[in-house]
Amino acid sequence: MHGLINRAIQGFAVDTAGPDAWRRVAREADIDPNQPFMPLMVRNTPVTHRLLEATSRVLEKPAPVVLEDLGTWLVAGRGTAPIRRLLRFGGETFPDFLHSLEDLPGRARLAVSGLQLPTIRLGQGRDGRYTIAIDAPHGGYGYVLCGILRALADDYGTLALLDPPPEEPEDGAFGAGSFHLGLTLIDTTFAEARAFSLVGPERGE
Amino acid sequence: MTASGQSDLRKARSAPPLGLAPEALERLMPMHLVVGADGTIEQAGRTMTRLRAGLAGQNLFEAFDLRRPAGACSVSDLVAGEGRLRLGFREFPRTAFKATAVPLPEGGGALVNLSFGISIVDAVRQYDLSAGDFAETDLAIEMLYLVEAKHAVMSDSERLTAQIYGAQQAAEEKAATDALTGLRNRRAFDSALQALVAGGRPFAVFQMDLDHFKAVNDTHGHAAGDDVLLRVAAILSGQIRTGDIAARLGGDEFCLLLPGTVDPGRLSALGETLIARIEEPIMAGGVTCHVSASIGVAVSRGTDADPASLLSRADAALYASKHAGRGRCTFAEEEG
Repeated sequence: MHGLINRAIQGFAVDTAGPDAWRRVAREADIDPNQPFMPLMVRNTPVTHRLLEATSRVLEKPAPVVLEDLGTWLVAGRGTAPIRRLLRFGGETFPDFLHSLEDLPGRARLAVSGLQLPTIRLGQGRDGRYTIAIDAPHGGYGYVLCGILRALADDYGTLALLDPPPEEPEDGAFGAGSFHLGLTLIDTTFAEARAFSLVGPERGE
Repeated sequence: MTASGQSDLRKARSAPPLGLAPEALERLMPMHLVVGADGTIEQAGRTMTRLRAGLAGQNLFEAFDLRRPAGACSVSDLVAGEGRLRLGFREFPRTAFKATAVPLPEGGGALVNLSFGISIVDAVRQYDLSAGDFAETDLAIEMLYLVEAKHAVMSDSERLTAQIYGAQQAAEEKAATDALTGLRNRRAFDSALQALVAGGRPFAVFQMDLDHFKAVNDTHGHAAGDDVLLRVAAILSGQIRTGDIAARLGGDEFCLLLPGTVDPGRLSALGETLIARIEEPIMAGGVTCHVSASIGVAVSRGTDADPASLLSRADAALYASKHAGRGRCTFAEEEG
């Protein structure tokens, strides 16, 4: 599993539950809380699973909920503005973004070679119905995507209803398998979209 | 050509080239210009108009500075060869463009399709462009995405590099420090001595042992002994100058390295001061302790190539001090 994913879990835990909660998570997951994750280093997957399970215990939320909250945090969190911006490059409107979902793994790889995201397939039905199929080595990605979609719909000022995500599979939220998600687009001009410009704020040297 | 013939031509031009509807040309090339034979911009794509209102009607060569082909001043210059152009606005902001010019089938004009090339990031910021300002097939958005991704990854790795560098500095500092006294340790002392010898400049070495220290340890315990060592370390630190090195090599054995100080008068004054300060009563673990120090001094004139022989001369001088009744400072014989 990519170091960035472990870093994201750490950032999520620190940001939403505080540094003490993160230290408890780290202790339960048997990792050194003071050792930074090397974002560009691919670590073994068991570390990620231990981290998620520990986060779920410390935050006292089921794993699917933790994963969905993680997805929301990636878009709307305090320290994750770059991720939100990179996602918004997917399209000018929320439907445009939905149509760019299939490109997401390719975009992620362009940004960070070595970051493997699951294959996503978008199906479009009548009356604003979409189905999103995720073929992942770890089912957890689907829950994360739920959170991302909810937060991004808000970001675009779009009212979209997400079907309840599938229940946690018997072998836990991290087992392999495909994941189907239904979404109904109600109103793309429901609220004011959060501002987005193609070029971010100028960076000081 | 008659006057009426010319106006017919104009009319024909404002109907789009190649039989494309204007909206179709807009969608394919929002950054195009249709230029008449005399250089007048007859039509400008919506994104070009966004950059400069009122572009249509101006003369191309007045609005733009042609850098390639150099010295181009007529439409036929533009389409000569492959029609590869480099140009920029004459007025600020002087946005630079790459462009391709092709001759129009009739009338001697040209269709010019522009692109920002590498100036895209600045242009998007200056003109506040959005995705709709680019053709669907233009990779501009992907390019901006990559720029953004690069910044995100770079700033993350810069932060991490700083973190790792800080940790490395701390680890090196720790590895060079005597844990009890905070003076340099033997490892740091050895490498500083090596560096001084290699530097070939004169310097002095003080080799110092405490006298009666074992008695403090035996009578009052190790905690009191540690207090004495801390006090001695503070005295040494207080007497040396920036650039000098004070080290504890272990037990009650201390060393000073004094680059550039070789004058016997100054060295022996320093030795006397150190001994006098160390002989002052030391409060250690609730009791008053008395220790002294024996010192051996060796001077390198900058020609001693061997740290080991320098240290053994300092050591011999130290033993001479101890032999002569302790609490004193002895100079080693000069080499050679």
